[in-house]
Amino acid sequence: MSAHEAVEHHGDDDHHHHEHRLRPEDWPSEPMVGTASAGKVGMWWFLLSDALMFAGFLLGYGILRGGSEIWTCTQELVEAGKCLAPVCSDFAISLGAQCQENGRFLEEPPLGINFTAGLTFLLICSSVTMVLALSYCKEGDRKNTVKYLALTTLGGILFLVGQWYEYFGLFGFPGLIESGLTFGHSAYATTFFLITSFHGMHVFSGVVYLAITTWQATKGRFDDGYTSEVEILGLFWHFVDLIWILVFTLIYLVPNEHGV
Amino acid sequence: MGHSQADHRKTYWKIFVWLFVLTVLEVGVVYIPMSKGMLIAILCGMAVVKAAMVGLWYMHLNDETAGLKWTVAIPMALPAFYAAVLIAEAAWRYLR
Repeated sequence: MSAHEAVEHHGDDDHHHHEHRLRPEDWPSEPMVGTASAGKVGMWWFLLSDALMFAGFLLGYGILRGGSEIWTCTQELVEAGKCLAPVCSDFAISLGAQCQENGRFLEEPPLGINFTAGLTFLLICSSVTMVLALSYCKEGDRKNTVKYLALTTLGGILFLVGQWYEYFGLFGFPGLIESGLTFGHSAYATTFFLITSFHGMHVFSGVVYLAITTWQATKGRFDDGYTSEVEILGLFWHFVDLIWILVFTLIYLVPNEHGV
Repeated sequence: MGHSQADHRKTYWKIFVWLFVLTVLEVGVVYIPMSKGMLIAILCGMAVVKAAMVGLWYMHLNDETAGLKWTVAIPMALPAFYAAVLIAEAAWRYLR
C-alpha cells in the first residue's frame, strides 16, 4: 500500500482525524529504513547533524585540554605564580562574589561532581519515563501516557533548575560564576559554559516540546494508535540524555588540578 | 507476534537499573587511585556503554533496519575515530 493509499484508507474510517497522519504499522515499507515514518527519519537526520555539532565542541575541548599545561587555575598554582585567577566581574559581584584585594578571585573553582551525578540520574529517570509514555501510548492508555509525559517534563524542568543553581547559585548557595568560573578567562571556563549551555538549550527546547505534546495527549491526539509523534519526541529527548552522558564523563569526571 | 508492551516495559526498567549502576560506578571509580590514562579509558568505556544502551533500547535502534542502524552508526563513529587518531598522535609526540 502506498503512503497516499494508506492515508486515503484511514481517511475513510477516521473522519475525526482529517489530517494526513498514519499509524506506524500503516507506513509503507521501504528497503533502506523499513517502515520508519518520514518524520522519524527526519528526526534521525536532525539528531545526526546535532550530534556532529556536539562532537565538534567536544573534540575542540579535548584538543584544548590535551594541549594545556594548566587546565584549572587553582589557588596553589596562583600562589606559585603559574597562572592568574579570574578578574572579579561586576556581574559576579552582583551575584555575591567575594573578591580578593587585587580585584581577582582566589582561584578557578572545581566542578561539583556529586551534584551533577544527581542531574545525570534525573535525566536517566526522565528517559525511562519517556519510553514508558510511548509504551503506554502504543496501548492506547491515555491516562498513563499523560502521566509519564508529565513526569518527563518535570524531570527536564528540574534539570534546568539544577543547571541554574550550578551557574548562578540558588537559596543562598553560591553558583560557579560567583565562585570564580568566568567565561573567557580560560579554556576550562569557556568550554564548560559553551558545551553545558548548548546542552541546556536542548533541554529547554525538549521541555517546551514535551509540554506541548503532553497537552496534546490530554486531548486524545495520540489515541487510536497515532503514536508516531510521541516516538519522534522520544528520539529527541533520549538524544538529550545520551549527549549528557558523554558531557558528564568528559567535562566533569576527567580529573583536573583540583583532583576529583 | 512480537513481545507485548508489558515485556518491553520490563526491559526498559532493566536498562534503567544498568544506567543507574554504571553512573554510580563512574562516580566511584574517579576516587580509586590509578593512572589518569587508565581512568579516562575506563570512564569513556562506561560512557559509551551507557550511550549505546540509550540508543539501542530507548531510541529503539535495535528494532530498526540494518540500513537505518548503519546510517546512524557511521556518522557517530567518525568523531570517535578522529578523537582516537588525535589521542594516538599526541601519545606518539609525548613518547618519542
